[in-house]
Amino acid sequence: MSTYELILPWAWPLLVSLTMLVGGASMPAGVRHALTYTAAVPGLCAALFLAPGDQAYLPALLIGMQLDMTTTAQLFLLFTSVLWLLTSIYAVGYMKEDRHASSFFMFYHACLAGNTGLILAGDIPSFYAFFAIMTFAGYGLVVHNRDESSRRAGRIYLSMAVIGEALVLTAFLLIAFEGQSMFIREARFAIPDSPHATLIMTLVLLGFGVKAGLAGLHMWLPLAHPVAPTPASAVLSGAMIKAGLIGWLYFLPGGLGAWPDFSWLCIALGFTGAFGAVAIGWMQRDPKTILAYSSVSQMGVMLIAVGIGLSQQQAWPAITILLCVYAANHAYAKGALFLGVGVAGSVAQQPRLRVVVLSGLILAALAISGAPLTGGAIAKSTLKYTAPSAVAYGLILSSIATTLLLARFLLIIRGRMLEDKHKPHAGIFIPWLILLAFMLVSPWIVIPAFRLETIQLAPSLAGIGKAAWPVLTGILLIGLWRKQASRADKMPRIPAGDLCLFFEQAAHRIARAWMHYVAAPMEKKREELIEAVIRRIMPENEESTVMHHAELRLRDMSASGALFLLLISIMILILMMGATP
Amino acid sequence: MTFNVLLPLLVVASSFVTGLLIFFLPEHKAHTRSALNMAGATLKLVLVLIMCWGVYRGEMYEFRFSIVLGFDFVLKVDLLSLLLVTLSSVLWFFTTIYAIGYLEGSPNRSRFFGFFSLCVTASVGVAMAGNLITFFIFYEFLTLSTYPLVVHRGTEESLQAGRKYLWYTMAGGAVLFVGVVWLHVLVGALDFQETGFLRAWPASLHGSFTVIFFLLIIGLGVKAALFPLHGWLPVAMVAPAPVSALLHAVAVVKAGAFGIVRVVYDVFGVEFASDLGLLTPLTIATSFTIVYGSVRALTQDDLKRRLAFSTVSQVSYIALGVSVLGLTSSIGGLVHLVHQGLMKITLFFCAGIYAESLSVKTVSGMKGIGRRMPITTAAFTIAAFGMIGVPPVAGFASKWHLGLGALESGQPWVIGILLTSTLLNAGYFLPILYAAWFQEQEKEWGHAHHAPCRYETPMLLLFPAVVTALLSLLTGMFAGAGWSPLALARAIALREYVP
Repeated sequence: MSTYELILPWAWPLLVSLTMLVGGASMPAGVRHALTYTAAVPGLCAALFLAPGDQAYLPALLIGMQLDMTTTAQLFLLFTSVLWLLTSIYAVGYMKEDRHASSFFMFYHACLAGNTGLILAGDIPSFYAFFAIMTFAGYGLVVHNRDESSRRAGRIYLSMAVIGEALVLTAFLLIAFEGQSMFIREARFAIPDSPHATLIMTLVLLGFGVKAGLAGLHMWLPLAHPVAPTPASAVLSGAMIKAGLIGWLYFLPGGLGAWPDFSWLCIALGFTGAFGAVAIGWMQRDPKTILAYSSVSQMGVMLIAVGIGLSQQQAWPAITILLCVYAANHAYAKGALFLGVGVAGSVAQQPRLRVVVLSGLILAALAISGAPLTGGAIAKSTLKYTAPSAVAYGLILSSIATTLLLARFLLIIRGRMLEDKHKPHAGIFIPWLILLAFMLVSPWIVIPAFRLETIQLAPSLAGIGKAAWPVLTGILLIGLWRKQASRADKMPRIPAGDLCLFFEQAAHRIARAWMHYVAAPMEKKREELIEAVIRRIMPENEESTVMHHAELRLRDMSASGALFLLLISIMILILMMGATP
Repeated sequence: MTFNVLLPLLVVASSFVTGLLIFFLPEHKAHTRSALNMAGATLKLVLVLIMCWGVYRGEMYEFRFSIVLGFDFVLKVDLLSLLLVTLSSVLWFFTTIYAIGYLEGSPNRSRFFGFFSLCVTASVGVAMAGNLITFFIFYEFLTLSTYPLVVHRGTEESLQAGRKYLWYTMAGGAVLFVGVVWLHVLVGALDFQETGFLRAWPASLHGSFTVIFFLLIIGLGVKAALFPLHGWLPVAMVAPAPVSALLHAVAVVKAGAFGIVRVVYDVFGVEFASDLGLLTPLTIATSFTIVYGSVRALTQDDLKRRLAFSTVSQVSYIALGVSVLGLTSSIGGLVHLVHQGLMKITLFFCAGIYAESLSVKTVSGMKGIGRRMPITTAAFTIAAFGMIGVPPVAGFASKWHLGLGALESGQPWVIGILLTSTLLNAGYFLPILYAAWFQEQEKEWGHAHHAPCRYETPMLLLFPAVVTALLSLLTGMFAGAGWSPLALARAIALREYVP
């Protein structure tokens, strides 16, 4: 029976998306809401009720679809489904007055289908298919507001996504070829022995790096995540960004050998992202942009963990599990922060609720910073055991940096709340609270329930202290900085999307140069050459008479009729010849 | 003559007779003409389905008799011909519906539909030709029957396009003819045979075979729009939309590509051709064409012209798959024969609808068209994603096999070509989709060329576009199914390699 349970998590949202495509704006709101509430439920059920090892093979679908439930898939599916489910409920409330709500939900559910599908995919083409569905549907979320900034973000998102897809596809072709198999489980084993191992790993790192906000390929992310409607930002930054991490976990040959050089590359890029994003994020004024930079920074931390796993063959399974826990924590907390931006706007006029919302946001921020007892801290403390000591210190520094960045976010959102005049709105407030609750309790339930023995749950008092001091340092620093806050506005500013400006200008120039110097002259030359050949074969004046006459004849109805009478007679003649032996 | 001998002939005759009857029909009898057209198309479809069923059960269909000079006229059904025959008759059926809707009330319809039927006769003949001579006859017949369709509008522009078309194809035909006759003189009978029939001849002939190969490929390359022989194709798009659709998907361009498949597989044999070193130049030519077509498509504002350059690029995928040695690559090339047809015909159907209903002919004029014509634009979107190679639309299955095949044959640089083409395809299709769905309408829509109708465009135009779009989606989504074009392509490819 597990077949249906593995199909429905992606097929049902896909069907919901199609229904909304067909129904369009004329679909009754009640139906749309009901479908939206249920879309993520099959995924949640699969995560809860299936066991690792459950699988399904559907030979007719795509080039033969394999669906695999593994521990990694299960943990990812669990937090992904929970985040999508709560965000769906939030989105129904949030999008109530949006005129393009039907288009929003169509793209939204297609993204959900891609997201759950790629987690469960057991063969390479299916993974690519789900990844592509999610990427292209994501475009619809990014440009939803249809204003200039969302268009620019969408353009950059799509250009980079297409490049990412191309890199991923190359990696996939190489992996499938080397492994002589379409199945991820089998094909992966061939990577270490392949002469192209480094190439494959680089392509996987970069290709999925586009989605995961790898330093240097992250530019689209701080532009695209914030311009989408708030619920879309939450799933983009909470769940869909993790597709890049899944790609790394599924397609890098971790646990099959040790790659010290590549490991250091990952760690270096991870730290660049972790600190660079904080530095640039600090200069932003828009709260959602700050959160997006924080996501880039957090993905950097996850890449560091991946890098550590690649250097130690035995550590890989444990690192995979702790990444699941870390990713879940980040998904819930980042989701709660993004959704919280919307909630904060709606409760601005009520002092009591304002306190509740601010406390909730602080909790979520602490969870990301790695404050004690949160999923982030639990995962990080396990990671520090396997990490080289320099890396471990780096991770502590990154905790301080993250605390600073999120503190800045909180300060800005607090300032904004006083200006906002929206009405409070239970439809978005309640799912947000539930999400916060999930963030707090999920590690304490999930880790024992799934018997994740490699994760140490019971922290010693000293452990709490260790986790607490980077966060406290961060808070202290922000307190000091606030006294000097007047200076802050004189800081040099890097606009959101940092490297993008450079690339946009370069692309524009190259395109113009290409047209001017290559495309146009080449075409002219070719035409001239062909014309010259034709003229050589057939002189100008003759052409105009003979050809013209022929054309006139052909256009003449009777002439064409006669021609075809002739043809039939030939045909009949041939037939008679054939009939006589 | 038994049914098995007659069936291939009947398949050819079903459109030939229809065409002839239509020629003699007075212009004003629109209903009779439509009925005749649909009857012919339906009959052909039914016959072809019977044939598919028969082949599936292991029946053989062959019709053969001698014509002059020891040439045999042979119609024979093997799996490869089944691939193209099925594609042609299915797409002809829908294109006929579309054409009836498209040309409603326009002059010279008897002439148009007459030649239209003959054109399909020719393309079905090309598919079922059992030897090179028969292939050549139908191939040239195709040239003659499409010319009047290209110049149908009779404007100066279309006459010029027709002239160019005729020049290119006639010259190509002449080169092909030289190749065919030369080969006939050397080896006698030219019956297509799985894994080829030239391998057995002594090595002293190999030099001539090499020259003949290039003569044949150049002759076929004109219709298959291989660079630099593609010049006629972007010009010929002045033809009415159903003609462009047919030209780009099943008839002329496909005949060229199919001819290349036949020559490489069933005349030379792919392994023998590889031994002679004939495949690498073909790989290089097709690779260049793929990139060239895409680059040119980037800057075209005229929608049909952009699609035409896209065809230049996409059809070369077929020849590319054929020219790279290896089972997987062959599967990719063969299946693209079908996939490209389904997707490109959808795109041209949609382009025709935009021109008919809103007088929109340029990409820049398509801003906001998604809201005005959502169903048409949805169909266009599916096909465009397929062209880029985004799963689950059909194009992905082709690209995946081509890419994997390139690796298997030790030519990884071909992947670079495929990726470049993917990026370029995205570069010229995604802006169209963006303009259509996400930009605001800029100027008033032009007037419709048809009577007001219930949906966004007459059902006769909308229905075929939707069906072919769904077909491109379904063949991709269920590529692994036993009845899919991919399964058929795999079965064909398996037979083309010497065990």
